[in-house]
Amino acid sequence: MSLPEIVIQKLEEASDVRPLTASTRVEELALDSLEFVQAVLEIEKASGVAIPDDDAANFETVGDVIAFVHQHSA
Amino acid sequence: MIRFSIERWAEFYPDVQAIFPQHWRELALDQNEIPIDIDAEKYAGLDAAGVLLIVAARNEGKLVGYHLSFLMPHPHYKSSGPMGMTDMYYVLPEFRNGAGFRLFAFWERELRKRGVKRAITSTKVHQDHSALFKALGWKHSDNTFVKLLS
Repeated sequence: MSLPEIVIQKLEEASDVRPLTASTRVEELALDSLEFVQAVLEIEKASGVAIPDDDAANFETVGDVIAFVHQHSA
Repeated sequence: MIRFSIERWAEFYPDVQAIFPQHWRELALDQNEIPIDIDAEKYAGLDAAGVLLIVAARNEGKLVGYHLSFLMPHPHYKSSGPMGMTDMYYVLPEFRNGAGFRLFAFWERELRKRGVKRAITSTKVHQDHSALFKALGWKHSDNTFVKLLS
């Protein structure tokens, strides 16, 4: 599974919003704080990329999450 | 999109006056016996002394949440520099989709920038955010008890 697919899959597991695309805004996912943080932890586990809280707090779109994971993957 | 920033009491207080009563109604205990009565002069003094740190959350300029904390050396640990202690925090219900996490991430970043070594916060038992704090790496340290005496 590619990194973008991992991000989309983990966010889809957390959110009821469909379909998710790179342009979907994080606030549209309708996740509360705990759900969002848990989804980020799942993305970290599945991708092997550490996502600091400070960076996660600045994600505005699903595309931002994908770009971060892509840029920081080994 | 909610934006977070550090504000001074003088700019924050006029806007927060409309929210404090809602915050109090939602979360305060013993409301019949202990009414809300914000001591604005005291807060202004703490702000002037550099003790008060206000993180404001605004959506298109409108105040929708906040985190207030006190930054000062703890009397037990004078040589460890200032510590950040939550005074209160709140986000309007209609803006809560992840805003709490972002509010605390902003506060934590600001404390790090100011060289704060330890932060102390809390959560209500009747609106419990313990799971969020644990997920963010906070250690559960204390339980607090309240007793109405008169």
